[in-house]
Order: sequence, then structure tokens, then C-alpha cells
Amino acid sequence: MSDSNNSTNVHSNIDDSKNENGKSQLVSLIKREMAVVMRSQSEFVYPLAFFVIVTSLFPLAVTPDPVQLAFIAPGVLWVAVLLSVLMSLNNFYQADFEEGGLEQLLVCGVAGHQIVLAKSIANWLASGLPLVIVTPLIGYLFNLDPQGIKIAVVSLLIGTPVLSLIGSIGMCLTLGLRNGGVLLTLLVLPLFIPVLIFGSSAVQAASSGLDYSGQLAILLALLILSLLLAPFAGSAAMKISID
Amino acid sequence: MWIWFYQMASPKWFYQFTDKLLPWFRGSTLVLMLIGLALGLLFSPADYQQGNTVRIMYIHVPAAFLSMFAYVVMAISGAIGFVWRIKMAHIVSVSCAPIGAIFTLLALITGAIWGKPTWGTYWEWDARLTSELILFFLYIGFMALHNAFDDRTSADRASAVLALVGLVNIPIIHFSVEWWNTLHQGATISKFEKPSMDADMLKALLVFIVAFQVYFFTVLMQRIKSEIIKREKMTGWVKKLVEGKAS
Amino acid sequence: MMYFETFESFIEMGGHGLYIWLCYGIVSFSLIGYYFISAKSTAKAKQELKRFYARLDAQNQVNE
Repeated sequence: MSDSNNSTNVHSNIDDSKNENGKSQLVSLIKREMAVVMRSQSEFVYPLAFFVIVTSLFPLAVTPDPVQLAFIAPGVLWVAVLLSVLMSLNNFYQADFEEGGLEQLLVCGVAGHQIVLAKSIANWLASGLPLVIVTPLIGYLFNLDPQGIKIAVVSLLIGTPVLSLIGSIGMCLTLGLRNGGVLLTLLVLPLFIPVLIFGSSAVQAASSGLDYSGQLAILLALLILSLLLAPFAGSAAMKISID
Repeated sequence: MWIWFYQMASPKWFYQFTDKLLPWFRGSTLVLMLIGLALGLLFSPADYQQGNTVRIMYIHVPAAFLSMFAYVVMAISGAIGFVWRIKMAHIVSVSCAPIGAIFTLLALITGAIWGKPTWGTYWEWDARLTSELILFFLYIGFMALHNAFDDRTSADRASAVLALVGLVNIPIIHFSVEWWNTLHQGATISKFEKPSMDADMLKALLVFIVAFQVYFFTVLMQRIKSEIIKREKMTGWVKKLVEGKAS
Repeated sequence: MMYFETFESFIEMGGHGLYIWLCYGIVSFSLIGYYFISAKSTAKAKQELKRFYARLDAQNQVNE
């Protein structure tokens, strides 16, 4: 009950803010996305479950030996996060595209890059953040030392928004395509590589007592760059699919 | 200047223009390739460190260079097509992709074969080979995306956006792979000891780079020609061109 | 100045002949092959279009 009320409020918010500055519009767009998320909950439950299950396969597939597990932990964590973020994106775009919500927003004069930014932020809040929150648990299961766990959380906190933003571009490009899901992986995973390299290396460095500030700084730079560019690329791609 | 620009954008004019240029490009490709072969295989010394395997570099480095050059041409012409909605620019962009992918594949294969006598293994996670592998994935993604659309205009525009995103990403990927490589492997044998490179070796390399580039433009023009007539089949001039040859 | 003195040493290339000739072979084969594929593609497209125009003309005549 309260959910449906929430979403109607959001719609009126968008109308109110049309003539105001872009910031409040962005906030109302994010609220709109979050209202949809709260309605079904699958947006944050599925990626989280995927993440936990995939990581728990590695001790079974590689070895339960604690020393070796700690060695592979940074890579396993980051690859699993990459895949879960990729999986979670579909829910944020596909339904909205098929039901015509995206088109309506664009027709109403909402800027495309704001929609993409709002969807990326909502995707991160709903799917990225829960992954960061369970990371200490997974790190502990993998026998990662406390310093490594701390930096895993920090690096994921900086890195997952980048994944949501880059993934959004790929998602907008594949909207409405028949084999969109597989194609999305093909397009986006190569673009994730820098985040993967610096993210997992930061965790590795931290758990072996080395300096990790350089890697975190580069991740931060990637975050700023993708915040500046990805919404516009995504918006251009979205408009092609909607035309 | 602007008249020239508008002419370039007309498929008919472009078709006739490439028709005139092609014989020259074909000829110079052949000549340059033969000179390159002679310089690379016969008239250059062996490297004091790598021995004769350095001759593989004369084709590996140009292939790697062209694989990136083709991506830049593809992305920039895609961007021109996207911004000014020029059909011709999209034709150029789309025609670049398979050629670039071939050069990437050749760079990977020659790099791997060079690795066997040098590192003792065909595949080493070396920075340049890894970057080439990722570049190959980017080409595959571009071609897959272009194929996935039913509507040609959407296909052109979407793949242009992807190519531009890739163009911004390539330097970042390159930098991160280089960084990752030095972190994990320390110093491996760098492929060229630059200061000690012999003048004859440099000459062979440069001739091959130019030869590969001219080859790239030759093949590109041939692909563009077939792409033009396929896309412009409902225009009068293509009909005249096709049926004129028959009678 | 030719680097190799005998034909055998040119083929052997100091023991690395196999790798070097393999590389040059694969590259030449691919580049020549792709040159002809791309050259033929225009002729092939013309053939297809000729059939396409013939069908189109036949259809137009039926409609008239």
C-alpha cells in the first residue's frame, strides 16, 4: 500500500521540479527508481545471493586451504562483484524501457544524462552497496586479514559506482535487443578491466602490508571520470534505442 | 573547403573517388611490401640479443600499430557520423572494424610465435599481448553490437557510441595493463632495445609500418565500395552502375 | 649488403627459421587472402544487386 503511494508522490515531484534546478530533479528521479526497487526487493536480493554463491564456489573448486584462499580472495571478490553488478543492471532499464517509462520521461523534457545518472546511483544503492556490506563476511570466510578486508571494503566502495556507471552505458546500448544480456557482458567486461586491476591490486597490496594509496587514488580518478562522461554516453545510447 | 567536405559525404562521389585512387594504393602496397620483405629478411642484421627472431618484430609491431590506428579511425569517423549524421562516415567506421580485428589477431599470433624462442612459451601475460587481447574483445563487441540491430541507422549510431567509449577507455586500459605487468613480472625483455637499434633494422620497421598502413587504406576502400553499393541500392546511380557493366 | 651468405643459412635463420617463416607465412597468407576477399566483395555485391533489380523490374511489370 505504502509503496504505491510513494510512487505517485514521486511522479508529482517530477512535475513540480521541471522548472527548478537539475539537482532536485535528479533527487526525485532517484526516489522514483528507489520506489520501484522497494516494490519488488529482487533488485538487491538477487545480486547479493549471486555474489555469495559465486564466491563460495571457489573454496570448493580451488582449495579449502586458508593460506591459498587468502591469496586468491582479492581476485575472487572483485570478479564476483563485476558479474553481480552486471547482472543487476537489467532490472533497472529493461522493464522501464518496455513499459515506455523511459520514453515518457524523455518526452516530458527530463534530460537523458540525468536519467542515466539517477539509474546508476539507484543501481549502486540497491545492488552495489549491499555487496560492499557483505564483503567483510566473505573476506573473513576467505581468511583475508583485517587490513585486507578494510581495503576491500574501501576499494569496492569507490569501485562499484564506476561499474554501475560503465554498465549503464552498455545497458543503454543493448536496450530492446533480443540477445541483450549476453551482448551486454561482451561489451562491458573489457571496459571493467582497469577497475578490476586497480581494485584487486589495492586489496592484495593491503593484505601483504604494502602501500595501497596509489591504487585507491586511481580508482577515485576513474570514478570522477566515469561520473563526468558515462551519463552523457548512456543518454546518447538510450536515445538511439528509443527512436 | 566546405564544398570538398560535402562531396566527401556523398556516397556517389566517394565511390568514384576511391575508384580513381585504388590503383595507386594497390601498386604502392605491393612495392612497399616487397621492399619491406627484402629489408626485413635479407638486408638487415640479426639483433645481438634476440638473434634472427627480431625479424618477427618487423611485422608484429606494424600489425599492433595498425590494430590501434584502425580503432582510432573507426571511432573518429563514427563520431563524425554520429554528430553530423553523415552516412558516409558511418560506412567508413563500420568498414574499419573487421580489418582492425584482423590486424589485432595477427599481432597476437606473431607475438605468440615470437614468444616461443624468446620466453620459451607461446603465451606470456605480457603487457603488449594482453592489451592486444583486450583490443580484440573490443572489436568483437563493436561488430556484435552492429550486427544485433535490425535497423541500420540505429546500428550505426549505437556502435559509434560504443567505439567512442572504447576510444576513451583504450589509453586507460593500456596504462592499467602496463602497470599490472610491471607489478607482477618485474622487467621482462623489452621488445626493442631502442638506443642500440641498428639503422637497417629501423629502416625495415618503418617501411613495414608504411606498407601496412597503405595496405589498410587499400582494403578499407575496397570494403567501403561494396558497403556503399549495398546501402545505396535504391538510388539511380548504383542501378546504372550495376546494369551498365552487364550490357 | 646481404646479411645471409648461403641460402641454407637464410632458411635456417640461426635455428629460429621455423618461427620466423611461420610468422611471415601467416601474415602474408592473411593479408593476401583478405585483400582478395575485400576486392571480390564489391563484385559479389554487384551480382546480388543485378538479381535484385531484375526481381524489382519483374514485379513492377506485373503490377502494371
